[in-house]
Amino acid sequence: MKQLLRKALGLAVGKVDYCEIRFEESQILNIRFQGKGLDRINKDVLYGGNVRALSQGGWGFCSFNDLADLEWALAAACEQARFAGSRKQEASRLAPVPVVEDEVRPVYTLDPRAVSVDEKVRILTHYNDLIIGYHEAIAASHITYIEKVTDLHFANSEGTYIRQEKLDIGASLGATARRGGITVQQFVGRGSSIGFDCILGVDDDIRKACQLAVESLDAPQVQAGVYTTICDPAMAGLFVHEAFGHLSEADDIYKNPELAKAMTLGRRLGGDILTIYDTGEYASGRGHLVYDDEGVATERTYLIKNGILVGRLHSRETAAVMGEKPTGSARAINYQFPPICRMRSTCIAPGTSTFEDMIKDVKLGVYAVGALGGETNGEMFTFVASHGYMIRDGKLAELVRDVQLMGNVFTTLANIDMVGNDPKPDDSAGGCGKGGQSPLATGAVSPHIRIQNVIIGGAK
Amino acid sequence: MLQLLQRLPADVQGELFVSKSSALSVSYANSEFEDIKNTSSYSATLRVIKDGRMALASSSKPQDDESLVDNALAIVRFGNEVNHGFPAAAPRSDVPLVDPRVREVDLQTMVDITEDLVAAVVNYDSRIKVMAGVTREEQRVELANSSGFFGSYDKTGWHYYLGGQLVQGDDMLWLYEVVTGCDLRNNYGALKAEVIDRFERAKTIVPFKAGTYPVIFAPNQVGYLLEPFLASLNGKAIMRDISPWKGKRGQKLLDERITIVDDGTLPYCASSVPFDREGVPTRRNTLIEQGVVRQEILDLESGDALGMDSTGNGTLTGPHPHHAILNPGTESVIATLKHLERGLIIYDTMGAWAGNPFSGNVSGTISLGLLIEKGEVVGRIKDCMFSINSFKHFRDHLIALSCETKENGTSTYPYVTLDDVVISTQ
Repeated sequence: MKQLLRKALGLAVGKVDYCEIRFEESQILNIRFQGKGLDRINKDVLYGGNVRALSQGGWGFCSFNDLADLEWALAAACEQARFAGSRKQEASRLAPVPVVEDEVRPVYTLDPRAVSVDEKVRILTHYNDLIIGYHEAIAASHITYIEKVTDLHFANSEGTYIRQEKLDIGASLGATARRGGITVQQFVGRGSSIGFDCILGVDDDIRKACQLAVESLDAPQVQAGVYTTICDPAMAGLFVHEAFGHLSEADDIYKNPELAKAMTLGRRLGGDILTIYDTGEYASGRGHLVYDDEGVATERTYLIKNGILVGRLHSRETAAVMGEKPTGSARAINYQFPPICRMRSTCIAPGTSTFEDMIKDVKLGVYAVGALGGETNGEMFTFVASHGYMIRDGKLAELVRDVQLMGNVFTTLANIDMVGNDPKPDDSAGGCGKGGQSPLATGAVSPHIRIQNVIIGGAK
Repeated sequence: MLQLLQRLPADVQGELFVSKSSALSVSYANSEFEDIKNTSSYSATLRVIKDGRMALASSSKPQDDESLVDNALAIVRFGNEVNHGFPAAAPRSDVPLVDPRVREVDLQTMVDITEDLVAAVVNYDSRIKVMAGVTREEQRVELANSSGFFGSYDKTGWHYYLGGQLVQGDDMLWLYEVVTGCDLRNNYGALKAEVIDRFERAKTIVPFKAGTYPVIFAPNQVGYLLEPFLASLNGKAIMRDISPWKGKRGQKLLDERITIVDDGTLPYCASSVPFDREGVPTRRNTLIEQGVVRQEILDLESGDALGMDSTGNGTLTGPHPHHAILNPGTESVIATLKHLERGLIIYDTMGAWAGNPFSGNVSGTISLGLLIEKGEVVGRIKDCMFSINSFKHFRDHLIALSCETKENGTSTYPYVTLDDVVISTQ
């Protein structure tokens, strides 16, 4: 493959300023339970590649499924890049990175290919039986297991060639309880980039989720209002991803001077207790990367240090334009897309507060638990908890459901007044969406955090 | 295709779906030319049924028939239990989905269209960082099964979008609109006018207090409000006993002005197809008529489980609507707005898709909402959330459905005005 890709890249010499080829073959196993039994099982092969070319600041991109089309795709991408470049007539700018020749594969804790499909179905059937048999109010299960093993080749016109074997496992194990017209759902999430063992031994967590689903049937919807809110590690992880992580992606900033001004390095965004970083180095998380999809080695990138904005997530182009260094954050979900600036595992560094410290002086607040999903438009964000508890007079009180939080990133970061000492990773099925590319495997590691004045939607 | 199905053992039923597509797109970002993308995509998906169990394998690798068959047969013994087979050939909808004019659009024309869209917004306000793009698509689909069904169709696609971001200090106003279809839609002037008008109305930020208000939801937000109904009519949810509308057919559950139809046969509509993913002809289904539940959304599996026929809504992930239509009302949205003493019009939200649709509770952050006072738009509100319960609000708090509708590819909805919407803010 290396020779094939390098030979093709030779055809781009003199035609464009830069050219790269990615080619992947992924083996995917997807098992889903819904209701009383297995609902769907499929084995998929994702096979294809792309060529991306840069000329006078203009990009061309061409994807293909058949390796026999590689030279055609390369010629098409180069022609498009030249066309695009003729409109821009700028110097092509890519931050310099070392030329690399490398082959990498995960250090597996348990290679999923060493576990038979029989065994995987047996384990998931056990979880499904556990959910269905937990209580008469449990109407259905939702179990999704997705395993993807990728053989990825990358070569560029600068001489880099990297072959990476990658694993991505995501699992969601959920229960739906129903009584009369009320239906509630609770989930347990697991994910890994190094082993199938991430989904072993989940029984206790599943029982807790089932119990919560049953109890939530009697829980009221949270009352709309503004609350002091404590986020558990999963919610804090979702918060840092939606509220701040996306705003740190430099492709939204690098050609928008007003946004760049709002995100000037050195600006204070939070208190001294707040440190946020994004990393590809968290070895077991779904956001683990050795090299990004531009062949740049990954790293730990500090975004906020002690409340001060200190960094952002770059591709080679955004780094060059902004005069900063690449961070190994250019990622694509598969060969059909070009890489764009994305998060890996986004983390809040632990503080010193205990949960008891956080709750003891809260007169009326909400403890938001479990992350269902979120969204941002840059300045504003929203995220949904799987459930919550009211906090009354410094103590956890009644269970509440349909807890959805919103905020303005700048005020909310400033309103984080306590960071816990209990960081916990959160990796689950699903992933992040941006620019039509979804789901991208990302993760989070965060402790509990406390935020003042959070808007929560709900009943009146 | 038929050769592959013939390779299956005699006791195995098979269904093969092959899709080949290509797309050319031009995009601008930050008011600058961004890139040209040319993507071609191939996929073959084989579903097999053996001993009453079903499994699936797919591949994007050309000429990969052997591994497709091997992979499907290797896992079918674990597959889900099914009582149905694959359907035989049946008369199918004759839906026009190809516009030859789309195939004739060249790259230069696409660039010119995109530049014109960008220029309109930049000329209006050069501080706006404009994003725009045009995509031209072609798709060929073939479906065959071992019961004798063979069908194919071609489809063209023409999509364009325009939007932008206006950053002033820490205020980030972000909006965009999309036009999509199979035919060469070319009302670029309307798109430019809509986006510019939206920016103009949103420039002034006004203070706002929490409370309950009448709210006009723009057509592109109505889908979130109707999701509890579509989820509750989903045959798979009914089959799994998690739908609150199980057994409610014939009951009046919503305001009598609510009629919802699903139609997979609309000419040149992006979501139209002559037959669904399982080979069942698509059709027009009235789901809710004057507030009364009339029809579930079914595929082969859920139809079989519920003792009914598929409604032509089969996909690989269960039954889904093709193109939901909420019938319009009689009054224009402007007339409704003029009647509001104090309320909101919401054009864009975040997170309204999240949560549990079966509860009926729908909440979202209002990312673009305008305050109405004494029948006039006075400015944009910020940092607010809305919350409703669709089951309750579409029964007891419906003020109006507009006579204007908007199609977005997968739905056609009017403006919906609801009373008693909870708005939370600082």
